[in-house]
Amino acid sequence: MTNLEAKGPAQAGTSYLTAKGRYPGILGWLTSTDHKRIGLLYLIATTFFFLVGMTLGFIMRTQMLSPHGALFKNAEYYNALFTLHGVIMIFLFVIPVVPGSLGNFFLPIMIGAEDVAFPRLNLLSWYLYIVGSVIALASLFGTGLPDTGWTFYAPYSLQTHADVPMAVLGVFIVGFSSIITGVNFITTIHRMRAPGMKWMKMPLFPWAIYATSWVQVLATPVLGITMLLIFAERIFHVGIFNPAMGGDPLLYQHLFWMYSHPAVYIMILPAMGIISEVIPTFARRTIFGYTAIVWSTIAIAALGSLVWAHHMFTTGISDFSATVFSLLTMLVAVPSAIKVFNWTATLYKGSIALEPPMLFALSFIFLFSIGGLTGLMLGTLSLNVVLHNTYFVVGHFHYVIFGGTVFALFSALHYWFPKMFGKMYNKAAAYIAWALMFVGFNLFYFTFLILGVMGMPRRYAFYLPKFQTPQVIATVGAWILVAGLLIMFGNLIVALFRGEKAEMNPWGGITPEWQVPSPPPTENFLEPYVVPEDPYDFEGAFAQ
Amino acid sequence: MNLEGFMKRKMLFSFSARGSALMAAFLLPVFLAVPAVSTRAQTRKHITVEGITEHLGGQMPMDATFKDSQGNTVTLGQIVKKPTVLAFFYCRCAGICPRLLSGIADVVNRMPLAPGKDYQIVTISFDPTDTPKMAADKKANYLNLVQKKMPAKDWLFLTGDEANIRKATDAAGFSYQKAGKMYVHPTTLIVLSPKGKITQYLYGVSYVPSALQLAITDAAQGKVGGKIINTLLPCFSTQAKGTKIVTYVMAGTGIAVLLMAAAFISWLVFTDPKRKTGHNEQMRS
Repeated sequence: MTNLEAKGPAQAGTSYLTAKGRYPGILGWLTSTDHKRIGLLYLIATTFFFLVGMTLGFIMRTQMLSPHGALFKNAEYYNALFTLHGVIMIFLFVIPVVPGSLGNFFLPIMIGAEDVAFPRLNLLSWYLYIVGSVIALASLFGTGLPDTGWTFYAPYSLQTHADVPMAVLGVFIVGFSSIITGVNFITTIHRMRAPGMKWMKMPLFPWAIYATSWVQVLATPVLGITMLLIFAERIFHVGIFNPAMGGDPLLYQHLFWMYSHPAVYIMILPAMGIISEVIPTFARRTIFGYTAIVWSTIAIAALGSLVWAHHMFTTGISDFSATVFSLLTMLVAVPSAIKVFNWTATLYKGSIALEPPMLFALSFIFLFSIGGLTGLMLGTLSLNVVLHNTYFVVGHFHYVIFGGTVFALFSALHYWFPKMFGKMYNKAAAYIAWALMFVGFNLFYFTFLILGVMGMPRRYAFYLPKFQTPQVIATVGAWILVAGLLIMFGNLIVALFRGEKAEMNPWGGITPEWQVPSPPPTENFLEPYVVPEDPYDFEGAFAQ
Repeated sequence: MNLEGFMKRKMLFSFSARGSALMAAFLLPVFLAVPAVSTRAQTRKHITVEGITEHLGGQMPMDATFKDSQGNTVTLGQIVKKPTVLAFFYCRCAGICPRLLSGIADVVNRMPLAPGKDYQIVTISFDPTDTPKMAADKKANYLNLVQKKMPAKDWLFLTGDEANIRKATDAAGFSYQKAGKMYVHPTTLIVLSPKGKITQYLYGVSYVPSALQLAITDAAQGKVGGKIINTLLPCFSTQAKGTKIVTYVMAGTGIAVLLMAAAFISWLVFTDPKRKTGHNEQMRS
C-alpha cells in the first residue's frame, strides 16, 4: 500500500516490466520491492544455476562413455563434478526455484493481493540467497577441488581440505532466506487474501506454497543448529561428530537429513501445486477432490518431516528405528497417491487440450509416479540393502526431482510465460523441446534404474566394462535431454524479445492471475478481484 | 596396522581468516554459551589406541595366570598345548565383541577341522572387573551357536587381573584403552602354536574358513604365517557425553522453534482483522 502510493497515480496500470521506480535501469530492478520483479530476479538467478548444474551433469555423463573415462583419467575431477552438480542443483536451484520465482510472482496475484505482506523483507531474502550461494560455492574449493559430495558426510568431511563449516554457513544463509520467504508467504496468505476468499476458496498453488512455507520455517533451523554444532566442535573441540574426540559421525547424518529430507518436500510440494493449476485449465474441468488435495498437501508436509532416517537404513541404526522409518516412508506415499489419482480423475471426461504446459504436466504425473514407486522400493528395508548407493538411487531421485519438480517448473513456465511477459512463445518449438526432453529423460534415467539393479555403484569415475552399453545409452539419453533443454530455453528467450503479443488469457484459465492484464500492472489488479464461489468452476465461468 | 590415523585425527576443517570473521558475527551467542561444555570435553579429548602391533613369531607369556569360567586358576602354559585361536574381548562390550564371538562360532562351524582335536579356542577378557560368572554366561551363550560337536573345555573364557591381562595383551601387541565405562579396542584372532608362539593375525569379525584353517595347520608345525593385509575394525562407544549435549541442544532448539511457530500462527489467527470485521480491510479500496 505504501509501496503503491510512492509510485503515484500517474503510473497506475503500467506494466511492472516498464514501470518507473525510484531508480532507472538495472538499479530499478535490483532495488525493487515489487514481488513480480523479485520473482524474476529469482528466476534469472536460479536459471543461471540450473544451466551451470546442467553443464556439469553433461560433462559427467560424457565422461562415463568409456569404462576408463572418456574425458579425463583423474577421479578427483569426477568427485568435483558430482559435488558441485549436487550442491548447485539442490541448494541453489531446486529448493529456491518454485517458491522464489513463481511463488513470488503468482502467490499475491492468485489470492487477489497487490503484493506480499513484507515487500522489503522479500527483497532481502533474494540478496541473502545470492550471498549464501556465493559463500557456499567459494568455500567448497578451499585449497583444491571440492570432493565431499553434496551431503558433506562426516567423518570424511572432517578431514578434507574444503572449508566445510563455511559451505554449511553458505547453505544456511540460503536456508535463512528461505525461512524469511516462508514467513512472508504465510503472513501474506493469512492476511492479504481478497475479501471473501475463504481458505477453501483459495486456488491450489497458493495452498501448496502455504504448506511449503511451513516446512521451510520449521525444517531450516535444523540446518542452523547443525552449523552451530560444527562450529562448536571446530572452535571448542567438543566431540560431536568426530570419533577421535568421542563424537558420533552418524549424528551428522541424522541432522543433515532432518533438514535435507523435508527439503525434498520443499521441492516437490509447490510443483504439485503447479500441476493442480495446469490440469484443470487444460482439461476444462473443475479439479477433482479439491479438499482431498488440500489435506494431502498438508499431510505430505507433516509426514515428510518424519522420514529422514530412510537415508540411513544401511548405516547400522537399530532395526526398530529402521522399521519405523520404513513404515513412515510408506505412509507418505498415501497422500502423494491421492494427488496423482485426483489429477487423473480430473482428466476423466475433460475436454483435454494438449498445449505445451499440459504435455509437461502430464509428463510430470508419469515421471513422478515412477519416481514415487521406485521410492517405495527403496523404502523397503530388504531391497534397500541391495539397491543403496547404486545408480538406482540416483535414477529414483532424478525421476522425483527432475521428472517431478523440474518438469512441473517447465509446465509452469510455459503456462505462465504469456502472463509474465505478455509475449507468446513458438509452440512448435515448445513441442519439439518437450518431445526431446521426455524421450531423452526416460532413456537416461530409466537406464540408470536398470544400471542400479545391475549393481553399478554411484559416484565412481570409472566402472567395469560390463556396464558400458547401458552407460552409453544413458549418456545418449542425456544428450537428447540437453538438446531439448537448450531448445526450450532458446525458444523462451527468443519469445521474450521477439514473441508475438499474448492475449490476457490465452489458455482460458479462470484463476485470478488470468483476470489481470499481461504483463500485470505494478498493482496487479486494476479493479478489486471478485472471488468466485468455486476457484475451478469452468461451467460457471463460461455461463457468464 | 594401527588406529592412529583413525583415532588421533588432526583437526577437522580447514578454516580461513575470512571465515572466522564472518562466523564471529553469526556466533556471538554461542561463544558465550559453550565454554561450560568445552571444559568437559577437554578431559576426554585424547583417546589414543595403537590398535594391533603384530608380533609375528613372538612368544606368549606362558606363566600368565587367569581364572577359567569355573573359577579355577590356570596358566597359559597349562592351556596352550595344541594350536590355539586366541581373541581378546570384554564381557560388557555391547559393540563388536558379540560379533567377534559369533564370528568365531560361525567359522568353527564352517571349517572342516575338528575343534578340540585339531585346535582349541581361548578368549580372554581384558576388563579386570569381569568375573568367571560373567564369562561362564558368555561361554554358555556362544557354545550354543556351535553346531558341531565341540567339547566345552576346548573353548575357554578366561578372566584375570590387570597385571596378567597386560602381560598377555602386550605380548600379543593388542592395545586397548578405557573410555568412560567402556573400552576402545580392536578385534583380531591371534593364532598360537602349541608352544605359545604367535603365528598369525586375522582381522575383523567374519573369517574366511580356509584362511583360518591354513593358519591353524601352520601353527601346528610352529610355522609363522605371512602378514595378511586386512581392515582393522575398531570398537568404541558412541554414547559419549557430546552426544548427550547435542540431544539437549537439539531438544531445546526444537522446542524453541515450535514455540515460535505456535506464537507466529496464534498472532496470525487471533489478531486477524477479518475475525473482527468479517471482511478483509487490507485490500485497496
